[in-house]
Amino acid sequence: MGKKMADRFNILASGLIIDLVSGRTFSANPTGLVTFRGIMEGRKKAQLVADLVKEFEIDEKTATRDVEEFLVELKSFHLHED
Amino acid sequence: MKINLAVTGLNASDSPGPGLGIIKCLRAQTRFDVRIIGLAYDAKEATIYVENACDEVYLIPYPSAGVEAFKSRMREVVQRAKVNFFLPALDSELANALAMEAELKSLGVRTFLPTAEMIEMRSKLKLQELCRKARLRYPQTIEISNYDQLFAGARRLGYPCVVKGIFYEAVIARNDADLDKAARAISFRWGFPLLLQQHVPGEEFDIAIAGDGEGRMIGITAMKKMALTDKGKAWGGMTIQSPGLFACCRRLMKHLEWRGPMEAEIMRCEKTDQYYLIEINPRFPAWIYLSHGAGCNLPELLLQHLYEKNRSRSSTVFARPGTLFLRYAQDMIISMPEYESMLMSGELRRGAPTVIESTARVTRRRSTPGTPAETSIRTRKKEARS
Repeated sequence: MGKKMADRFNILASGLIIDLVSGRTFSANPTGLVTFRGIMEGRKKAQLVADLVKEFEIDEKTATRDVEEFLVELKSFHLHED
Repeated sequence: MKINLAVTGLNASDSPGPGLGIIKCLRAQTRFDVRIIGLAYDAKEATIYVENACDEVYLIPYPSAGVEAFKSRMREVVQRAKVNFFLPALDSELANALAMEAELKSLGVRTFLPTAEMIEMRSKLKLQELCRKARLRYPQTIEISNYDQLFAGARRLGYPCVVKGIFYEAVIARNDADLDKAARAISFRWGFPLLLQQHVPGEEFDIAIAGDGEGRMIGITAMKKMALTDKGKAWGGMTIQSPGLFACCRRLMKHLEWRGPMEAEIMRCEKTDQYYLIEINPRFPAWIYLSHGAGCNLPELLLQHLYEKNRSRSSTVFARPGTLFLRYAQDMIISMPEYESMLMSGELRRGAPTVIESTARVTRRRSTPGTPAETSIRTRKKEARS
């Protein structure tokens, strides 16, 4: 999934995400961006949670909820599949 | 290598012809020394006057004037401008161009056109059949020959549906009133039959392709439309790379064995993620300059395919994804002598002196096809002085 995602998306310096398959563009907040980069690198859900805990100094429960909500949102935009 | 290339489609309105885009692509490449001979229908086609676009411009008769008028004028232009490649850029020109293809060849002018059969297969009335044979999805479509069939057709498809003219125009109808209005307007302009088509909700992609005539793509630039005019024409877009989309195009080109430029319009259904072919145009699109920006200069690749025998013919060149274009409108100040030359002599040769006769009397001029003024009224010098 990681390589497929890495081929499909470009993240620019500003955080703008370009879907090279559909031509759509997206932006994400800082936690979303860290999670999205992690997905592109092929990281698993537990690793994505750990990344948020480390980067933003939040508790694991909050980070887990954030990651899960973000994945649901990506799916609703057809940007990510399990 | 030097090429004297004649190209049409020089109108640059809000629904522009592809001529200027093609010329910009040819000016941007360095492989060939291309002299651009613009062929225009009207002295007000803006590309005539764009700096560094055309080296020479000639008025030609509208396609509706018939093939003999076209042939006659082309013989003159070929001789005067030493044309050795002709690239028609508008759908309506292809019948005349094909009718003259053999003669052009005998005059030393190369073309790379789809055959009449290919052009027929991509017509709106035949597209459904083409898609079935090429195993491509096509929205359910009903041919409407008169008003009586209109609402029954819409009931079969359900709303929203798309009303299409046989040549141009497409309007989404969301109810009976929309349908009635659109059908009347489109049939008034283009006549019957109309096409009623299932509406595919989703994203619209535009693809420019050069086909090698043997079923392969020389190059492909796929673009997502990001900004539209009120006629639905692309005013901005971004190149994309979509394996599903490319697979559709590959299948299409293989089936048609398409020769030369093509524009395909494809929708991706937002509910099913499936691709539907909507339309094929037998020419490059007006946004073709994007192909150069994305590293896949299709007019250049076409010339390479024809003139460079050593070029590998097996690999397709793909545009780099993520390249963006936006169109803009610009006002130009036009040189009156240049405009005058187009109006009065039907041609403009840059670098050569423009000769405007100043003899005095009313004369009947030889009609230059496409030139609006057949009778030129000149004042006697002594009358002018008085």
